[in-house]
Amino acid sequence: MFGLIDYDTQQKLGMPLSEYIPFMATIYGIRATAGLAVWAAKTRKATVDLVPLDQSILPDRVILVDSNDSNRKINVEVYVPAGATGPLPVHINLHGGSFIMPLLGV
Amino acid sequence: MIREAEICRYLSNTLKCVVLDADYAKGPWHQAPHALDDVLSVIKYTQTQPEWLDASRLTVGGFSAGANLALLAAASLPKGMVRAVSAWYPPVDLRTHAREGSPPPIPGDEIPGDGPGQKVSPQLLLKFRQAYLPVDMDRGDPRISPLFCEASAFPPLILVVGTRDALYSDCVAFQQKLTEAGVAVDFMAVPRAGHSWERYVTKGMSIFEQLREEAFRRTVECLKAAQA
Repeated sequence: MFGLIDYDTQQKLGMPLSEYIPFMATIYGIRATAGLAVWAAKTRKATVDLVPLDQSILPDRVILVDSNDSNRKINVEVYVPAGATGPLPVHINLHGGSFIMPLLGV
Repeated sequence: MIREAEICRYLSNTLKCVVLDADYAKGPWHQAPHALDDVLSVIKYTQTQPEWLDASRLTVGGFSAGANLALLAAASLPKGMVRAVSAWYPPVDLRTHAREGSPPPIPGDEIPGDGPGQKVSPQLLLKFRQAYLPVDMDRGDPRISPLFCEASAFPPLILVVGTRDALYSDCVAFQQKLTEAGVAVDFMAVPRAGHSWERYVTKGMSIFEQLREEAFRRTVECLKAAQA
C-alpha cells in the first residue's frame, strides 16, 4: 500500500508509470513535510491568544471510531471542558490539508 | 503559529461542549468520497453515546479541505441533524480552482501589500485534486463540491475567507447561492488575507490580530446559538 510503485494506486490515478512515479514522489514529499509539522507541533506550547497558558492543549483522550464503508478505524481526538458533567453538546472539527495531508491536531 | 489542537481546546472551553477532532481518509490511497464517509461515520458514532454526548446538539466545522467535508456532511444528512457549520476557506467547487472574474474589493483591500496566509500554486493544487478525486468521478458531484448541493439543505453557517485566497471568488458565489435560498450565512471576508491566514498572524499585526479575534468570536456565536 505504501510502496512507491503500487499497481492499485497507479490504476486508480489512471497515470502511466512515467507520470505516476514523479507524482507519488511529490505526494510523499508533502506527506513527509506534514509529518515534520506534526512532530514540531507536539513540542510547541500554546500561544496566549486562545487558551490559558497553564492549560494543556493536548486532547484528553483518543478514540477509534469504525468507518462505515470499510474496516478502517478513524482516529478521533477528544476535548472535554473541565468540570462539565452529563451529556454535552458536540462539535466535530475537521483539519485542512488539501485532502491528502495527515495534519490531525496541527 | 496557532495549532488546530489549540483551536479545539478553545472551542471546547468557550462552547462548554465536547470537541471531537476527527481524522479522515486521505488521497491517493483513499479517494473521494471516503473522506466524507468517515465524517458521516463519526457523526453516526455521536448518536450511539448518550451517556456523554448529546447528538441532538451537534455542530460541525473545519478548515480548508476539512471545511469542504463539514459542508458536505451537513448537506447530505436530514436537515437539522447538523445544527450549524463553521467553514473557514472551504473549496466549494472542485471543477476548477477559481472562477473567472473577481468580486469587487471590500474596505481594507486598498491597503498596499498582502496580508498573512499561503499562496497556493495552481499546479500543486491540480496535483492534490488529482490525488483526491477518482478519474471517473464528476467533479460537480454533490459528494465533493458543496456548491452543487441543494442550497436549502444547509443549516446556519459561518463562512470565513480572505480576499487574497485563491478560493475567495468561489466562496462569494457559494455565499450568494445560500443567501438566495434563505440560509442564514454569516459571511466574513477578511481583506488582503490568504489561505489559512489565521495561522500566519503574528504578534504586532494588529489589524489581523483583531480580525482573527473577530472571526473566532463570530464562529463561537454561530455555533453557540445552534447548540443552545
